[in-house]
Amino acid sequence: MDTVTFLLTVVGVALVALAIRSGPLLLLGGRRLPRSLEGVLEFLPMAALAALTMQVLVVAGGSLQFSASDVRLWAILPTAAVAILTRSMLFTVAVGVALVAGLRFFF
Amino acid sequence: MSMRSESGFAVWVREVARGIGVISPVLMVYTAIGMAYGVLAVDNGIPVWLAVLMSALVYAGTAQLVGVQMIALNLPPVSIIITAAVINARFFVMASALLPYLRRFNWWQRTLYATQLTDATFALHIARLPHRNASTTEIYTTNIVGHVVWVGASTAGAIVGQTAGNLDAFAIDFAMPAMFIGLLVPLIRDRGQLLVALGAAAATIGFHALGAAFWTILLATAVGLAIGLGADRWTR
Repeated sequence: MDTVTFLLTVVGVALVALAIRSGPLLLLGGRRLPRSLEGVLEFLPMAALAALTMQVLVVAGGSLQFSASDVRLWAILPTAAVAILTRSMLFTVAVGVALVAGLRFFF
Repeated sequence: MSMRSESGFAVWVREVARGIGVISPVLMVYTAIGMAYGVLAVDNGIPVWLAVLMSALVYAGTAQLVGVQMIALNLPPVSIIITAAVINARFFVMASALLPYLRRFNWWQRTLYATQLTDATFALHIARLPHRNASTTEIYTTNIVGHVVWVGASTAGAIVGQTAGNLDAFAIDFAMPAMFIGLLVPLIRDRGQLLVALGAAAATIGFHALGAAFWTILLATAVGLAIGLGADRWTR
């Protein structure tokens, strides 16, 4: 990709991200979203977060890298346990990262 | 000391300090993830200045992580922008949920707020604003400090990534998934919601194995939604 395409892509991504985030704040005014969308609204964040968690874990360079030797996959459940017990994002990330670093050191 | 005897400057300093206090638990996480992004960006052949510019303009970690991988694969810009839209769709929901607490802001204040809305600032503000009348200074301090630290960490990561080789031993590539796990867990309160998350996660692997490539996120999110809506209908 040349520099101009790079720049246009980044600006395009930035504008799309801004449009999605500012849309409800600027357009919704005093109204609420329609009731029929409430189910979608309830489940969209958790479905997207779960899909993205897997995406960042198992995809590298556009292809699936799913292997039992990837210690990060083994760290998912203990990290979730820390999240359930502490309800703290900071603790969860600190323990998760330390766990993966430790597993990489020993295996 | 009564409120009245406080000078405007003292109030401002106190509110800035409050804003920093609200964001502080997130800053270490941002540092780790920002660095992971910076390293990955230069690893994928993105110049340092562009990686930093992307952090300043886009300020959406996952869209950036996935975006730099797609740029490295030379995929058409339109497909990258569509993917970013799908990845960021959840922010539409989050912004809608925050709207009742941001009504006093005018259009440009709302736009500034929107540019700095992330998973983490959403989690902080949805836990705080319904119970407490936070000042405008506090809210924007929280957002701006987060944004600045994100850009700073990305810059550090890009520079480190350019000079150092493999940083896998530090496991910063697990910082973002760990943050997502930390954000996801409090959202799940019943069995149906657990199924949504597990279904979307499994579908991500399934669709990638089937070759859905960057449509995977859209498809897997849709599977999660379908499970949730289906479970709702089943139980009601």
